[in-house]
Amino acid sequence: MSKLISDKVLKSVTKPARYIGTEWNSVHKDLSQISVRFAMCFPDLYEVGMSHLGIKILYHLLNDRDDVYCERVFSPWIDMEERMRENNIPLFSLETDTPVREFDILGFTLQYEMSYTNVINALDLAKIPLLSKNRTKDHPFVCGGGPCSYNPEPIADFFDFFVMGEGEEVLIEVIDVYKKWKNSNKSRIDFLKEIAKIEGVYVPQFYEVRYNDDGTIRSFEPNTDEAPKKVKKRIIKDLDNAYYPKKVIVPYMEIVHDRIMLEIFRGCIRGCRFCQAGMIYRPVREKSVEKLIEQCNNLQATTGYEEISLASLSTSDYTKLEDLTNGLLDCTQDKRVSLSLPSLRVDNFSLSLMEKVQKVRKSGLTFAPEAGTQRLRNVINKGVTEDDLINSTKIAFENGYSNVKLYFMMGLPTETVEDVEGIADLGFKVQDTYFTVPKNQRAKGLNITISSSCFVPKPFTPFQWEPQDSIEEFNNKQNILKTKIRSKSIKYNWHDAKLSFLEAVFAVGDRKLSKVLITALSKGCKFDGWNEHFKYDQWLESFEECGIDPRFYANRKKSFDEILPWDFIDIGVTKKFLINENNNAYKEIITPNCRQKCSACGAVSFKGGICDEKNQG
Amino acid sequence: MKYLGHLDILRTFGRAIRRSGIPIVYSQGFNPHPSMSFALPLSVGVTSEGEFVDMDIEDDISPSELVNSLNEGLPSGLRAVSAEEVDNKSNVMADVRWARYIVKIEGENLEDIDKKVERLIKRESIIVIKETKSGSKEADILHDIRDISVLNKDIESVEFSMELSAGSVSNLKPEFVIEGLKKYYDVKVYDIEVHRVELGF
Repeated sequence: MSKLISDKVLKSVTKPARYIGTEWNSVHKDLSQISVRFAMCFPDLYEVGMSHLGIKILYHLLNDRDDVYCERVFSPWIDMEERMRENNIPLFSLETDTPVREFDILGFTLQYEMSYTNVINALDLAKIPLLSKNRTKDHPFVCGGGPCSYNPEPIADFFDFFVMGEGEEVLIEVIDVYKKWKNSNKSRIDFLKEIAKIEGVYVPQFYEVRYNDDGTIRSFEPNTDEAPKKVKKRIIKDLDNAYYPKKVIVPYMEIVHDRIMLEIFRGCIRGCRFCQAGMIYRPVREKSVEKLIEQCNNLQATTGYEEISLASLSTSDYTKLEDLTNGLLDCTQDKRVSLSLPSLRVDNFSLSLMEKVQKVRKSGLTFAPEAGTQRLRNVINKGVTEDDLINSTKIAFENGYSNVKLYFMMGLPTETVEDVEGIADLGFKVQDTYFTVPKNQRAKGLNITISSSCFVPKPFTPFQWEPQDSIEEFNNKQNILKTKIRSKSIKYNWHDAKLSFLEAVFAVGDRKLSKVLITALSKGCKFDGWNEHFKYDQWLESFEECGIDPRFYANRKKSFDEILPWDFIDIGVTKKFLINENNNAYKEIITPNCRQKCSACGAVSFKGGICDEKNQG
Repeated sequence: MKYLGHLDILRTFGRAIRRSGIPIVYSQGFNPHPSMSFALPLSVGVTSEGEFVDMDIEDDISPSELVNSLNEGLPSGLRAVSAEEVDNKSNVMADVRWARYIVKIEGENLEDIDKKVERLIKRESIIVIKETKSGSKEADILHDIRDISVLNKDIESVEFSMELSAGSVSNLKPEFVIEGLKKYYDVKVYDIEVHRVELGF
């Protein structure tokens, strides 16, 4: 158990189980056989990080190599961090309590912009110099991956390198280069130059950014021969033959998503215009039904989990969903393992599917119309109609469901007051639908929850040039809904506009923001995504002290000819396509999904998945 | 392991049972869980060598097979010691009556601790504050102390053996006995370590 952390400390903190490790299927190795030690950090609490599928895959992938040992690192909670600082305990790994500073490579998964302060806080706790340029051979190489690496610029100064795209292959390539380098006597820069040649690797210090007087980027150029002008993301073409763990760690304590996650496909055919995931994970690549059943059986046998969940961006778009669920039910039912299907679309909602899966309990249904009027739904290319919603909820209510969640986004481009009010109207229409079902047929106690988040412009989407509503505008719109939605059966939840504002700043920001992050951290900003710890005033102070106006990033409409901080990344989907889609949005024209018609987004340059299917067909 | 709460332990056992294929009966309803009950939950931070669990098993499995299968699936730190077949009416949760603990404290004013313990249990009452859902209330714990003795001591630490009421009728945690010593005999305590040795039915 913990040699670094004493019993006294563990007894004095909340949920000490976060820090003890030794879970079933956690990996323990003989250090004398290890050539490369990798610390994999999810910069949030244990219960959040352990719910993340990506870490599970990479952890077991790396540990399957005899010469590599990958250990986990999570952000200690506020109380534990206090104890650690009091007692001079540096950030340590979960498996062996090794100070993170002693590892060869420290990797962060970057899932959320507001985790950036946690990232640099982790570096600080680990006693690793925050800035890449200040690190020496005494320090691990710090790398980052995950969706936020598609605009890594606000945190570029803190990272030695980033890995763009799916890590299953490229991470191994980097480690092989590292092994060779470790045995040589070369410098840090030599290692970075070597990996810069690997497709998908971005080394920030090998690029110079110059700015115009108005603050926009004038140029972004490599300053080293080994650094490519554009960094092309990596994808795994054949998911069936790609690595997937046969066992995953089974935590002791309750975590956010406490079940087996079976990833059924990557990418998404829909092309909703606000959605970054739908663009950066193209092309769509599915796993076969046989493979998934095999993976399901393996994971059940090695974990003993009670529930399996299908993971993808849009589960109902999996081509053989019926075959898959039948096959999975066959191998789960007699073991009393339940199957759950999140991420279903309202326009192909299948009751028979829901019935198969939620055998007895009619838990809630969630739909994401995203916008309150058909006009705005067309603008964002979310091809869901009001009829789809009414029909689906009608079927649900007729069959005993009485809890419905509706997700919307506020502040979408071209939004008017009518669109906002449309959200409430849809809620009322769903409520009316419930009451059209005869009393003896419908379940008692209707609960509709309407939830509105705030639109954040994201890199590599058709809306990446769009400004975010001001905080005042968001508050006004939220008030419209708060006033309009007054019903026993409908509850309205809204997201904090101030937090969303900061999300936007860092989503589309540039390198100038790194000093803001350092300043904010020094003022105590961390765990910003946690309501009770979000210190908005200190954030504003930080921007001011650094002489940066955050509205320049979040609230300014950018021009198509501007150089954006992430332009140097090639994700397949072209800027031309995104501009085209932006124009279509303003014309309220719908773009068909990839299966209906190929719109030549550019993802075909990867030659994989659905793009291949279309070309053969 | 001692840092796990009771629900964590239940979950861990449940998954170990699923992995091992032990033919346990599952409850009906939406979230079927293994039909088993522990005699007495163990607080976070407390270790134990004497816990009891009732399990409803469907098919024939010998007690030693059960113990072996369980131990194959349990993470280190949890170990099944023995099993025996009991009739359906057995209910460890309802039948448990007392628990014996080894309690080690570090603190001050521990001289004459033997005498202090003797005087404590000779009192008319030992009133401590218990926190409940509806707020704090006073409780007299004298009659829940079945036995207490000092096993070892030095200037800064003392080890006690305590046999206390346990179960649904009356339950006393060792910490409250220490509270009694602190309150009436000015003992100062910096650290407590509790180990449960056995349960009595």
